[in-house]
Formats: sequence, C-alpha cells, structure tokens
Amino acid sequence: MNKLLNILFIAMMTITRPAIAGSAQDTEIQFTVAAVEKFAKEVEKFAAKEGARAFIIGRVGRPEKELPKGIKFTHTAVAIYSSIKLDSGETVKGYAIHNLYQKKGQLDKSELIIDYPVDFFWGVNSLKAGVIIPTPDLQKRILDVIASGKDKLIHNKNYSVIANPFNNIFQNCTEHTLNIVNSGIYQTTDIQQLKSNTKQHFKPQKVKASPFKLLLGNWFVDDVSTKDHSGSVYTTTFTAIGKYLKNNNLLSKAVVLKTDGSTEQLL
Amino acid sequence: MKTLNKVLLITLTMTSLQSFADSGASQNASAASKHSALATSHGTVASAKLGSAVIATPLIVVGAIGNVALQAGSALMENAVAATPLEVTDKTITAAPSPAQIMKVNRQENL
Repeated sequence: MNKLLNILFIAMMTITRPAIAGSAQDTEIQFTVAAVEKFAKEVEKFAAKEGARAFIIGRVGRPEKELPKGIKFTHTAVAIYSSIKLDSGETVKGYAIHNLYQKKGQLDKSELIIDYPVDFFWGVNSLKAGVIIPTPDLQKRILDVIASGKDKLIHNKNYSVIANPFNNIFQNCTEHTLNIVNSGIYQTTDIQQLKSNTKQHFKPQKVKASPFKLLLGNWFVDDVSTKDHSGSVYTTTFTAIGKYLKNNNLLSKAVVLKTDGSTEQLL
Repeated sequence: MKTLNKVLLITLTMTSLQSFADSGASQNASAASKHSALATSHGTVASAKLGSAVIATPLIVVGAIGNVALQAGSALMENAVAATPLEVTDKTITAAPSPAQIMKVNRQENL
C-alpha cells in the first residue's frame, strides 16, 4: 500500500507542479492592451502630479479573492523619476521601475530588473495600483540608494515568496524594497545592521496558512521556504511598508488607484 | 480507505499551495510578445506613440544629493525643485527585449 501511495503522490506532483511554478501564464495580459496602457500612464501621471521622484508601487497579480488575508498586493517595487533614453535616440522623462523578479526557470533565485509602468502592469489580474509616496526627504535618500547602485549591494538572490524580513537568508520583492527604504533611512548597506534595525522597528504581516500547508510548500515548491522562520511565519507586505512609514512620520501619501480614476486610502 | 483519505488530503492541500506561488508575484512579463502586442494595438502610429527604453537615468534635484558620492553618469542633475507636476512623456515606454527574447521571436517567425 505504501508503494501505491508513493506512486500516487509522484503522479499528483507531476500534475500539480506546472500549475504552481508556471510563469508564462502568469504574465499573459488579462485586459486589452489599450486598457493596460491607459492605466499605466494614469499611475505615472498621478505620481508626477504629486511631485514624486521616488515612490513604492504595488500590483495585484492574481484574483483578489484568492489573496491571503491581510495581503492586498502581490508584487512591490520602487519607481524612480528618470530621464529615459529610447532606441530612437530620443530622451523622455517618466518613471523607471526597479524590481526584484524571480528568474525564469529558477524560481528560487531572483535578479534585479528595470522596467516601465506598462511592463509592470502587463499581466495583472486587477487594474489597481498601490502607491506609497514617502516624504520628500526620504524620497531623496531612496533615489540616492538607487542612483549610486547600492540597491545591488543589499540584494540577496535566494528567493522565497514568504521571506522573513528579520534575516537575510531569503529575500522577496517586498523585502528588497524595504531594504532599499531602510538603506536610505540608515545610510548603510550593512545587511546585518539593516536587519537589526528592521527587527526593532518594522512590523511584518503574519502569513495565515496552516502549518501542514507550509510544510508541504517547504518540501515541494521551489520558491516557498520556511527555513528562515521559527514558529509563526511573518513576511513583508506592501501595506506593512506603508504602515512603517506612517508610524515613523515618513509618509506623504498611501493610496490605491483604480481603473476608473478613483483613489482610496491604503491605510 | 485511510490511505485514500491521506492521498486526497495531500492532493487538495497541494492544489491550494497555488495561493503562495502561483501569484506571478515577482515574475517578469515576456518582453517580446508584449512589444508585438503593443505595436499591433497602435497600428501605423506605433513609432510615434511607443518607445523602447535603452537606459533610464535617475533625475536628481540639485542640492538633494547630500553626502552620497554618485558614480559618474549614474544620475542627472535637475534644477526643478518646485516643478510639480513633473513632466511625464505621453509615450508608452517599455523595456527593450533581451537578445534571447528577440532571437526566440525570429526563430518562431522563420518556421
């Protein structure tokens, strides 16, 4: 019977594995190209109207009803007001988005990639954007971190979707964003120092999932690991970063932009 | 029957693991197919409304650099402290596809 169980288990894994780890289907466009373009430009113009030179941007990459409780956005990055040189030779102004993305075909590893609003929102499930605008002083410091390339020094390529922000064993997109913010605040790229400061002042989001589910994820899903956690699982979220800035008087605005042009307060 | 229950339980649990990893949370869109879709959407005016980025350089307001020593060419200075709203192009800018993505598209087109 045990042999039968093993065979069934392997068969089950074969069936479910692509659905868990597939990447191409996740980035297929869900709306019309025109709708995504229009929304991406609206987000850019909103930030520009606010005079944001650096802001934190979030997207919803899966059906909202499936999001774990307490999590509103699935991917977070830093948008920087930039001079953008085009392949035509023309130079324009707009926002470049500095992301930590999982590597294709190697989901437990990540790389830093710059893309642009229409790229960022291309495969979203909801035309909804999270926008956290730090105070002007903090914006300048975040901009300095990116412009001086220090974001690369605080990047850990080992990826887990539920990375613990209190250590540097794994890192996900939102933790990388938090590292950039804290590197700007504390003016250091010393990762141990940054993690110590994070532990003292940042309140992460508890991941509400059954221990059994987490255990299976740990065993069978490349980009899910609980090795960096002891006890309950806590991770960085877009909203947690917003609260962190608000609690430390470093927040100018935190909103959710919708496709109808309306905004609602994030916090 | 007990074994069958175990199998069913594990199957259901594994299926639900998508809630962690099937999010596309930090995955990058395929640049090649995106460029193609954008160009098709814009039709004959594509070149006027679309731009493929070669490089993005952060714009820093003069006097805002502080003590950070920036590498040459890593940022541009701007005398625009109070200029809001900031100027943003009306063009749709996309990340240029990588050589691997371009070659993949070419191979598909040649088949």
